[in-house]
Amino acid sequence: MAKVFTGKDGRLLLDGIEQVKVTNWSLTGNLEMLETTSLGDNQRTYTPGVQEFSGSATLLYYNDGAGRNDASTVLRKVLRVDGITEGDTVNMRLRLLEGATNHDVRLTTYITSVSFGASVGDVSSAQVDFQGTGALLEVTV
Amino acid sequence: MGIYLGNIGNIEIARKSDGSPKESLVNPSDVNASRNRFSFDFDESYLIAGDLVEFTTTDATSLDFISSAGWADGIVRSSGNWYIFIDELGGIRLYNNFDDSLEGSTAGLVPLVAITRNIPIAVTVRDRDTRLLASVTDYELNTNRETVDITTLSDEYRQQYSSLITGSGSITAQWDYVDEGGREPIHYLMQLVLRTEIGSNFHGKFYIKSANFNPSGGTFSDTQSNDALWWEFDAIVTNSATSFATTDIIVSQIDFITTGAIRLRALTTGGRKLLQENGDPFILEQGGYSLLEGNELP
Repeated sequence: MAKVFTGKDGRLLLDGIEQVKVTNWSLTGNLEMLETTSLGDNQRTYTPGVQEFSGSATLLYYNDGAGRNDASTVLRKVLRVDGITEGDTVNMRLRLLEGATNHDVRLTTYITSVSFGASVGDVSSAQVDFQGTGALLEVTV
Repeated sequence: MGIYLGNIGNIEIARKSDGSPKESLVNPSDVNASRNRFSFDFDESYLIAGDLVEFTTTDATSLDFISSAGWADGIVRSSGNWYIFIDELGGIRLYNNFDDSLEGSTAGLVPLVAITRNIPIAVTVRDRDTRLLASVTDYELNTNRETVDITTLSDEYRQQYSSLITGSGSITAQWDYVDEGGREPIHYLMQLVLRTEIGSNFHGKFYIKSANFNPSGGTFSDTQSNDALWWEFDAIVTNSATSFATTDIIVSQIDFITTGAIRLRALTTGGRKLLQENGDPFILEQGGYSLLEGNELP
């Protein structure tokens, strides 16, 4: 059956917990290409180098009835009084839902940048950038 | 269910400023006692004919350039309120009456006397009186509630969150610059858009239905005739346009935006007035020094 995916099908999970009030997420995968062109070649040639994954997400700064605030949890990955250690990774799962089928990309990340604020006439939200480390853990897209 | 026509509405406005005083100096050469006009250093668009202006000396001396005949009790004091007229040379004439101040006529003109010293003064435009806006043919008021889209991933329907309220509108009136009925001519709002330093604010009461007004059209029950319903808000004049055509009445259109709260008020019972012990009403003196607010004397 034909299926067009929209934001309605999107989900974001951090450490296995589905985040609420996410307005967008994006993921970028890069492959570094190493040039292998040599003298006598008529066309440039390349060989694959190192892969890199990074992305961003925006969460409304929102307290649900039980006091849960996912934006706050993510913000505190970077806004903290103690330093960041090697073990402060976040298991991130970016999902598009198709009925009972999940189209996922799962990777280990560091939260590299967070920003939030308040402005007149707008809802407060947290913008989060993340950097993948290591290979992707799961790909079902 | 009644039928209400536009002729049951009207507009009241109160002149308004940001309340900040302007300090200056009245020199002996600034006072022309023979013509009863004076001046001080101010931008010509700072004051508008018909403004109720409070003059106060900043060194606690008396306003000697204003004759004792211009004071309600005949005693020259350090502070007083008068309506003003600005002549073509930027000179100021003082009046005890609003209508006279619009015309700048000799009637009601407060006499001045020559001075021999510099008098430091602070000038404040007061916002005491509310007046009907004259010759209004139509008005329009739009109120708008902004919304913020808070739709998130996985939502099936868009979700909106209430945000800020804004208002704007326009007034159309036949142009006039004087009015003998104590009403505010549209010319004031045309001047207001050009006012410098203290802005072009006014306080408005835009009536959907005026109290105690029985128009020829429409139907009202006895209990409805004294009802009044109106919008009340502060506004800033943003645009003024006047059209001239050889066969038409000169018409001015004023555009404005609201600032601060917009209230839709209703008065459905008779107004109650504070009375004196003997049952007489309190009377607000319009001229000279006396005010029932601010820094009045005991």
